[in-house]
Amino acid sequence: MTDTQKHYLMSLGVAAATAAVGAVGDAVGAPWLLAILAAVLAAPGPTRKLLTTFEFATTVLVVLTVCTAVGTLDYALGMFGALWFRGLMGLMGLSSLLCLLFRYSSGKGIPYVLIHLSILVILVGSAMKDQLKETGMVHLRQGEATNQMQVLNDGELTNEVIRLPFSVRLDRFKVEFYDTDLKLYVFRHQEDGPAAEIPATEGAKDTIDGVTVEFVALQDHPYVPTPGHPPIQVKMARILVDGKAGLVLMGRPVVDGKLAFVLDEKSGEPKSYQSTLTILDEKGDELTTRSVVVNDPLIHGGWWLYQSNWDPRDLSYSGILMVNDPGLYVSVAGLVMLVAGTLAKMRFRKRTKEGVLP
Amino acid sequence: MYNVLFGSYSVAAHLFGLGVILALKKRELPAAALRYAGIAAVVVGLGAALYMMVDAWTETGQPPFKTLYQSLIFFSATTAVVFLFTGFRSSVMGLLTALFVLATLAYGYMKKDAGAVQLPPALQSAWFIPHVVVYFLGYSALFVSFVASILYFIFPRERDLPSVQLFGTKRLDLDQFTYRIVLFGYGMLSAGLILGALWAKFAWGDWWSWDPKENWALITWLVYTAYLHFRLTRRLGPRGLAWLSIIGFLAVMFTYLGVNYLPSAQQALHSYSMQ
Repeated sequence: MTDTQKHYLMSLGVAAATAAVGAVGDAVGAPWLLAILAAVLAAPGPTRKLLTTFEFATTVLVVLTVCTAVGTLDYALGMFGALWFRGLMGLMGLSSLLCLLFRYSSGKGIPYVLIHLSILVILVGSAMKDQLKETGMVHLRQGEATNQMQVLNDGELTNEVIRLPFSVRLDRFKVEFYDTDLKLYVFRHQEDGPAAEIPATEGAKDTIDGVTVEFVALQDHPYVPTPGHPPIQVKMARILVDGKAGLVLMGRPVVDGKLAFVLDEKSGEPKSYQSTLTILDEKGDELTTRSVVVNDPLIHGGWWLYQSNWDPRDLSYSGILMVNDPGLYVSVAGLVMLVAGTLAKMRFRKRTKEGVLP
Repeated sequence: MYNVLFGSYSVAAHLFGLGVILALKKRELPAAALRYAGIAAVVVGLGAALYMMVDAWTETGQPPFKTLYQSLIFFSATTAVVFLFTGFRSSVMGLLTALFVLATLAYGYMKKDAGAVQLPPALQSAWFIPHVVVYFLGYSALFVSFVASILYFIFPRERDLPSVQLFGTKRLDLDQFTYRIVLFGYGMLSAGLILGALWAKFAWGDWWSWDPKENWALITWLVYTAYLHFRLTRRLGPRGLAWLSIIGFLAVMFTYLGVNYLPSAQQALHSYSMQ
């Protein structure tokens, strides 16, 4: 057996041992077992040497790739929360760190340092998130204030309620909708939902069971409901069914062969949810007021407040997601280092070789 | 306008194809002329794609990346940009790019949603455009490296070519070519991943949620990380590296199109372009 093959086998062994220690740690509730393992592996000796080899780095990359793919196939495995998987991620960080400490030479350049250090920093931030992050929901009605937060655990609401160091008041909640759209609905014979939804725009078409339905134009049509009644202006669609012209009046189904056509309005989807929130300190003094929409949270003292929930039957209700992640800025620093490192690597090649572009 | 877009790439494919044949027969001058004509056709196609995007944007007031159809039109534009910057000296690259874009556009047309789309609140964000643009630049570059890796199996050795028009060089070194493009693509993947993570923090409260799309973006990134380790240390020969680059691009395609078909995609955060 060559040295390379030996290294690969031993690397797989270390990965398996790490997963096993992680599994035991999960079973007996002792995540610190992984920290002990890391210390043992990094202590001066043959394992430290192994962890700085190329074979170890690539083994960890391949093992993580395969595990991520398997865990994504079936979330019921619960892999991404499991300690053994985190242990494998930790191995990637440990190997990056040891390579940086014992393998670095000035010829490798700044990108090498940035990229390998970034992996470690990102993982440290993630570990802090896993251990320290607090999340929950604050349920508010317009005009109400509260400092009670219902705790979220792995995205699930629990019965636990904790007190926040501040209160949140909902001054106003507003939902905006997109405009309603006119649609031509096509139904199959004896089928509940529409088989197709064709927008009322010129040239829009769809094919249902081999029959092509095309929207030609929208017109106002004078409709006389009873003889002698003055005509009512009703929306009317001119359509082509397999090239044959047809008319569909708003709200009046037309049956043609196995298909039925209805011209109707489709109510608009929500366009934005907006909560105007005020943060109050324990004495009830107002600290800050700001409106919060999806994608634009309010940040107060480490807490991020997100527009997260609403109730279509009670438009005075707004659900605010609360997140406090002490590892966030560590992770972000790592992410920025990673990008800086890879971009610098591209620049680096450009200067030393004849150029990135052929 | 779709017809102009499709037509110009179809013309480009014919021009490049004819150029390849003439180059193989060492007819240098006509081959060069055909290559330039092909480049012009790609530029027309790029213009058509940009026009369609601006048109859709002004009509709906929303960035034109919401539906699969729109994102594939944009993909054609970034592929054209990457070709115009990296592969324009090669009529073989031109031919393959044109064929790939044609396949992309045909697939997009089949999946075309009629009418304007209403952007859900989660997609109304300043992070949206940089995230998508950077990723698509990366995907397009990695497509070019994928093609180069496949060509490696056809022309495995460094060799003298019958014409400089075929690959823009007298001596072909596909391994080096692939490496440079992967390096660029990898930079874009890293940047796209990070832009996505920051956006997720603002939209969902967590910069990483182990969502299927995120996981497959990570898998893609890990595969190319492995490629770069093997390439920079020369632990793997050009053949093995070509295989890795091919596997990497298959992961890219799965991340982009395949993830929606995973059983776990039903409750996934990234399933906007389904329906």
